[in-house]
Amino acid sequence: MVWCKHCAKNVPKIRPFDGGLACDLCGRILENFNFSTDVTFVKNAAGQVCNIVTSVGNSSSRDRRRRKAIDELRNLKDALGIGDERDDVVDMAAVFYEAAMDQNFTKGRRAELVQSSCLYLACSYLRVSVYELGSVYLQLCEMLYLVQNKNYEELVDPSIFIPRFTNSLLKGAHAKAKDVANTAKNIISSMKRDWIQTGRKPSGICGAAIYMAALSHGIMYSRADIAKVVHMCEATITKRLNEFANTEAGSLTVDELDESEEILRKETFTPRPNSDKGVVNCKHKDLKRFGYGLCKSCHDDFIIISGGVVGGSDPPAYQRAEKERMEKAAREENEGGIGNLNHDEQVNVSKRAKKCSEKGEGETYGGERHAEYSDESDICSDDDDSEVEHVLLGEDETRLKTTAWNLQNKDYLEEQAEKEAALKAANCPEDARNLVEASKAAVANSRKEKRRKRAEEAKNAPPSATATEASYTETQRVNQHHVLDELLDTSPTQKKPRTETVTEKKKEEHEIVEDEEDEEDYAAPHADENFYEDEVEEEENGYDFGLY
Amino acid sequence: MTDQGLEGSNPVDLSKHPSGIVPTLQNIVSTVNLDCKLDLKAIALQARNAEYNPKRFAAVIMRIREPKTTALIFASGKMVCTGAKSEDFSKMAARKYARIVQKLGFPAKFKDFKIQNIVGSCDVKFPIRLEGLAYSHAAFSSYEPELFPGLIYRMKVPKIVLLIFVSGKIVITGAKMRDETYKAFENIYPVLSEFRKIQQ
Repeated sequence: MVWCKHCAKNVPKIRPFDGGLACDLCGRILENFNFSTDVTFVKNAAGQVCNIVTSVGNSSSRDRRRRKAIDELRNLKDALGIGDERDDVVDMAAVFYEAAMDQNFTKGRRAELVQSSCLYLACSYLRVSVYELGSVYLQLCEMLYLVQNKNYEELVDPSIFIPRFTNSLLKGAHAKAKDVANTAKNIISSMKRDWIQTGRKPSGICGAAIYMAALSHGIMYSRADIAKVVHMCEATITKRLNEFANTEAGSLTVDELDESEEILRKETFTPRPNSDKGVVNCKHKDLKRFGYGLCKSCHDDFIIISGGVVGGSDPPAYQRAEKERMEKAAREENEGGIGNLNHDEQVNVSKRAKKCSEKGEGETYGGERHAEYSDESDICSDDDDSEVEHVLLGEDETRLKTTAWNLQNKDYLEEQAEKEAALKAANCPEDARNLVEASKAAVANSRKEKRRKRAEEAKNAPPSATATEASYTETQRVNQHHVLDELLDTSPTQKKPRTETVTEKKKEEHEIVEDEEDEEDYAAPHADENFYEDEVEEEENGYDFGLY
Repeated sequence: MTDQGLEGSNPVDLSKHPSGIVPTLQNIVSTVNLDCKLDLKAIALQARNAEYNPKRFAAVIMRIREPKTTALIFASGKMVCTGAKSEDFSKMAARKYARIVQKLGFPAKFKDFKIQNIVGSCDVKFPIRLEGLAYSHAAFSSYEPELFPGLIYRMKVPKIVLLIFVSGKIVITGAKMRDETYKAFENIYPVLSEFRKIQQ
């Protein structure tokens, strides 16, 4: 079992003719190489015999990529339903792809997009339509134009969409498909002459034409059906229909339209402005200039592609702009007629001021700079202070805005807090070191306190009796300090030194905290000999703390 | 309206504008360096005309009414000023923004002011056959009605991009000086006249 990208599942594998690994279900080539299973022995430099693995059917990377691209193009063609017998489309697309590879166009781009663009280019070139792919398509057209010196302005012709759309729409009425296509072609030609096509999406123009052609041949389709096939909004198709209805051709019958198209196609006339002057702009530098900066052959192509600049209705966008200009002019005339009233006079004054400022912008650069410089100083001194002062918020306003801002950006603040916590966790080793230092300091402080307390007790403690020492030892076992305090009031005894030695040994076995408590209650010796023993004890304690 | 006002109120300088049409500047983008680090949250919370949404965009968006502009103020001290209708308005607005930042307590300066882009527009008032223009000037033109209804003309000298529509309206963008906009329009006007619609 092996994974097939096309089937999107694990499939049984097959190796036909000991070649590439293929999918047994869809036939797609999964691996384009095969390792030989024959055993081969070769002697290396040291004289040892070793085994080598050889590859079967290996080919250069370029040929492999080209074959893979052809397979992908064929898959795209089948997926789009272009037709089982349209291998010429795949062949032409492969030629485009080869040219793109020559120019390193495939580097840095998805191979699927380049292949799709090549297929789209071939379909458009061969009058088979698919959907455009945006900037990759534009870049490919631009690059291939530079390479092959071909002009692809034909790609914007809406008639390239007619066969595909009519086939999708008239599935069950093939008898009339040809008539519908011809009528649609005539309608598009008329739209071109009336400047409806320029600046519009070809698919929208084609959809409107097919809709009218289908209705004129008795095939009833709604605009929604057209919109679904053409992939345009119904409103757009309605706009195109209204624009066509406003032209002279919109009032003709189908037969009249066919006749007028034939007549107009023969009677095409174009003046030749600036003829016989200057140098041609097209690439045929040695030929004579014919018109529009082109030689005769390019000029003929120009007329066919662009439809010329003579006649027809004004384009709809231009008509709308003209209407706006006329309405504006009429409004200005009306406003001028009411200048007697005081209110309108003020309005005129403000408008005049506005025109003066606009006129200032229209003046030469030097003059305007001088004027603006004067205005700048005035505005900076007066208006600048007032507006700048007005911008600053008071304390209450700042507090309110802060509250609102914190509410709105709560998520952002939480993220910031989490980031700081993460940073804090990353600093853990430093915390450990700090802890060690703190514990060392605590130990040192504890040691100092012990010495200070012992010195104070040595000075202030009274002598103790033997009975007191016995009570002290007994209290040590049961750990009852209040009993010890009461017994300390009795008189001292003479057997204290020996009892003291036993007490000290027991002390050493206790923890630091208990030692501190005992020191407070301990009665220091009175004789010089006892004082010497105390010093020895202190030294021992320090040494123990060091070890500890 | 501006063009009509111009033609009516005072004559156009034909030595500078042989076509008789003066493009109107619509937008100017400029940059300036305030040369100090800024606390964007403090600015946004103390200024009335400022908004700051750090999750959406890492700059304070500030607006003033006269001249009507919008500024982007970054923490690094760099500022972008957009929306002005002339070079002097753009500089005046940038100075105002710098003054506002100063009043908020930052030691803002005003260094390296530069106009980055000028957008102009005008109307030649006749229809233009875009297919013909694209065919005749294929090296400079990009006309793809599937993607955009206008023709994109990339002029080499001066290096300006023009958007040309069938209605006769032209957009001129990419200039760094006003004269570049005017020069580009004067260069394209004879070409547009050549592909002008001729009434039969």
